[in-house]
Amino acid sequence: MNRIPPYKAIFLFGVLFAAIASKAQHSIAFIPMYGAEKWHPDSSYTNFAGESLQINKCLFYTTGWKAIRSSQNKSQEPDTILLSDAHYLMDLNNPNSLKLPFTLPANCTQLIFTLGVDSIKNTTGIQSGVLDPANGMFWTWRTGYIMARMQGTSPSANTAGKRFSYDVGGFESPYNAVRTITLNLAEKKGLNSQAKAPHYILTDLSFWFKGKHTISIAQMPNCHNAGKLAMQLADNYQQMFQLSLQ
Amino acid sequence: MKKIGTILFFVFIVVAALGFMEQPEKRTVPRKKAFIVPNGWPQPVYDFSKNPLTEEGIELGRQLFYEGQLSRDGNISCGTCHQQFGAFNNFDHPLSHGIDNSLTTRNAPGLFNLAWQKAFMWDGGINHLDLQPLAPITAHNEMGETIENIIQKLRKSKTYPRLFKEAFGDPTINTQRLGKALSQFLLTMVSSNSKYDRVLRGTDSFNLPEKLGYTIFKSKCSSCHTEPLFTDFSYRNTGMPLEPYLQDIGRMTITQNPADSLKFKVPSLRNVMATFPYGHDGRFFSLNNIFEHYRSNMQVMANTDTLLKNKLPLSNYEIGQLKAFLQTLTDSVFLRDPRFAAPGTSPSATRPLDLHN
Repeated sequence: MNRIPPYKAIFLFGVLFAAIASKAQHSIAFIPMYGAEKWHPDSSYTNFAGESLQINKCLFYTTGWKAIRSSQNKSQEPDTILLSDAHYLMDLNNPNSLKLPFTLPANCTQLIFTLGVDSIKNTTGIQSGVLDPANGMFWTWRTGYIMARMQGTSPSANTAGKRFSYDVGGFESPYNAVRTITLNLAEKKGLNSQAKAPHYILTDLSFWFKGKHTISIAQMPNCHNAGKLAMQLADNYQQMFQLSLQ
Repeated sequence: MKKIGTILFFVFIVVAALGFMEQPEKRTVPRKKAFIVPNGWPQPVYDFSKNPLTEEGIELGRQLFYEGQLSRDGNISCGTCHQQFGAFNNFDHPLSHGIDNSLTTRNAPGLFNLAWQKAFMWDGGINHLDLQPLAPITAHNEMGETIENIIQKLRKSKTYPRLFKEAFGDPTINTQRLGKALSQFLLTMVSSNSKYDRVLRGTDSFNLPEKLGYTIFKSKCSSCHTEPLFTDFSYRNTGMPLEPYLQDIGRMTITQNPADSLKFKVPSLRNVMATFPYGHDGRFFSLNNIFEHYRSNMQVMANTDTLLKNKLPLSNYEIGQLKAFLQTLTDSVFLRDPRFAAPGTSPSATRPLDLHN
């Protein structure tokens, strides 16, 4: 029989108490968008190249969640708080996956995360859990995680079923598709005092096709390897996140 | 009286509850198995600390290696295209047959001494032995399955939950354990008992052609086919023109670097007499074809290996001696080792004859 030893119980109560006693804790969740609208798999959109498209799938890994908190003592360097270095698979079709299982402490100025999978996880054999290759976000023919995936249809795609499919990966220079995203929380300062006000990260999928590089589905309907196109898509979607000001 | 009844009732409840208590697991600890590095060989690159060899793990790996259920139609196992009498290549097949009468695009290489190999596939695209089996399992022109589905099949089987429990301590079946078990079996496939090895150990001696061939080998071949593994695991362009139907550009597929165009991994020459046909797409039928390629048919390109810029001059005499030496790399102990045969069978005593060399 498993019994919790008293010291552990006391410790757990302590943690619980500390958690309740601390001030604001903000939950974090992604909201999929296309431009100004909420994304829906059955809706048609137009990309920057003027092509009509529907997006039925979009997934990506995040890890390395950190926050920067300005120090109480102004002369000191700001604190970096590690929120989680686990990997999370965000599946835009699965709302449950879009809410992160940790919270953000109050008075943080920046939220930082990595879009992709750590290189160490790409080089040490088969991982388990959310990184299990059985999840399908993995290239078996050449080692490497698919960091982000978008699949859909477009009349502009010259492919079977008018499908376009972008699997972005690559963890080695010069085609390392891992990107770091930094979001400023400063503009939300007024809300920070509200305990438990959630932070929503608007995820605008239109950025896959614009930003640094204009991607045309007619010219590039597929990306299934590390390389130049994967890098361009990663540069683009690096810019797709914005904190909701609601 | 009523009190006794109540007490008995509670005693009954307690006894009944005890029955539901978790029994301490009867743990049979998997038996550790040491990995022996042959004398004079480098240390293996495989990290055994993350996947220690055990008798049970190796046996599970062997079952999986010969398990048809890893393919969509239940017919194709790893062993289908990696046959022991061909040093685990696909005997006499330039390309192999996959599911639904499909054909692969590359020659199935022999499998041995994998603990020393840091990358897999002809293009080196796979960076860990544990991951390697996932490629043929999921390839549409090989075993045509999904990882998710084979894990489900193994979980539902009568034998595998028990075998996984014996190997790993509990019956959990997942991708990671599948890869580790297959690796354990593959890692034991060490080929180090050829005549060449015996000569180096001082228990045998070369005859004259073998001895002359060895000298020629050391001056003309061993900068790439480096002893003792007979490969330096590099990727090189050896002047093999692009195959127009397969369009396989080799290492460049992985690196996207034009300098890597048509580069392929240097294959080990151990057991070379058993592993024909040769080349990444099996284009060479015999050793003679290869020698002809090197001395005259090569197409020297911009990124052809610097050692081969003037092709590789070889006289008929040298070819004769080299062939005598290459015969000494056949490890007949390995080719007939019962530990590597399919469970419940013994290695084929009548190895198909090699009529091509």
